[in-house]
Amino acid sequence: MDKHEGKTKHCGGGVRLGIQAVATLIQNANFKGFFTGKIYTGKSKQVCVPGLNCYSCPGAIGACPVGSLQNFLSGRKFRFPYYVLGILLFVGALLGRVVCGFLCPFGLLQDLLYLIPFYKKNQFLLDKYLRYLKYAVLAVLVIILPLCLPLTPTFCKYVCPSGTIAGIISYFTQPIIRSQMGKLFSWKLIVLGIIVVSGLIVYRPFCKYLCPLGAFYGFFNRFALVRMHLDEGKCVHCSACANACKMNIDPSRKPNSMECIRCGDCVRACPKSALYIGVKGSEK
Amino acid sequence: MKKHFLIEKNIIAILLLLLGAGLIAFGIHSGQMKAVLNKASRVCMECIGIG
Repeated sequence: MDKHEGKTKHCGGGVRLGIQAVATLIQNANFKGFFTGKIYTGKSKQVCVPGLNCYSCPGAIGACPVGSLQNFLSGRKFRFPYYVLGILLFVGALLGRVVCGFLCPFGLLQDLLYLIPFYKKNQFLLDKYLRYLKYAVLAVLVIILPLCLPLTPTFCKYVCPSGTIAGIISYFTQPIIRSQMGKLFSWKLIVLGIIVVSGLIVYRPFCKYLCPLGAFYGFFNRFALVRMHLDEGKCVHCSACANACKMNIDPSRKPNSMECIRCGDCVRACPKSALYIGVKGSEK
Repeated sequence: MKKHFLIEKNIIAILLLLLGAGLIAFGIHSGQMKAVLNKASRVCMECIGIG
């Protein structure tokens, strides 16, 4: 029996949902754009946001780090992406996948989808193998193919669901763009549809299996300034944390797993307060 | 003493933060912020599914 089957568990407390909502609103503060369809062109767009938020979304006031990275890699003349990589490295070293749990707009969308009462099957046989897919997406679609195919941001073009949402908004607000949409848009709609439907059944399928940003930040989970700490002396190995984890990790064994999005469900579930998320050495 | 302990326990994160900050500074110096703005202030046709 799946530990989440037949019930819709609250996505890590109202506080986190509130922070996610505020972060999404801040990153998409060009509200006028949602009605006019015109994208924001102000100076804040020279700064990459930490999460997955398409810069072609009419609401976006920042640049997408994945899109910007591919733009540098697939340019006619290769330029090493110091700036974008620096931002990713800085954010990763500071927060790791806290970004996924608290700041990513597409993460919020998936959290809301999972709250919808529906058939839940969060653990299945292929789950652990599909997790590796996101590393392949990062390596192949975000790095290798853009390097080999000039002017082709492969991940954005064929997969990115955030871009598809931007496309849907443009479809309804920009008649010129609507008239140009064809097979590629249909393909992207299918990809988005699969992610949305699977998001009703599985918790955060895009983050688990496809997100290149989550794959990148995952490497920093062990070293990030803000990370999870387990007090071995307090842990009674009751598995309450593992049972609470919707990313299917056992925090008592791997508190800094690359899959952990720092939602804090395990921290709240621990009866002995053996887990905490914070900066090591800053405890009172 | 506590400050020393804090640095010791987070040395890798601190080094990576410094590296990240250095890369950002070098990127800004080489005009890469403008390149990001240039791309982000135009509609990315591939991203929205036009190609």
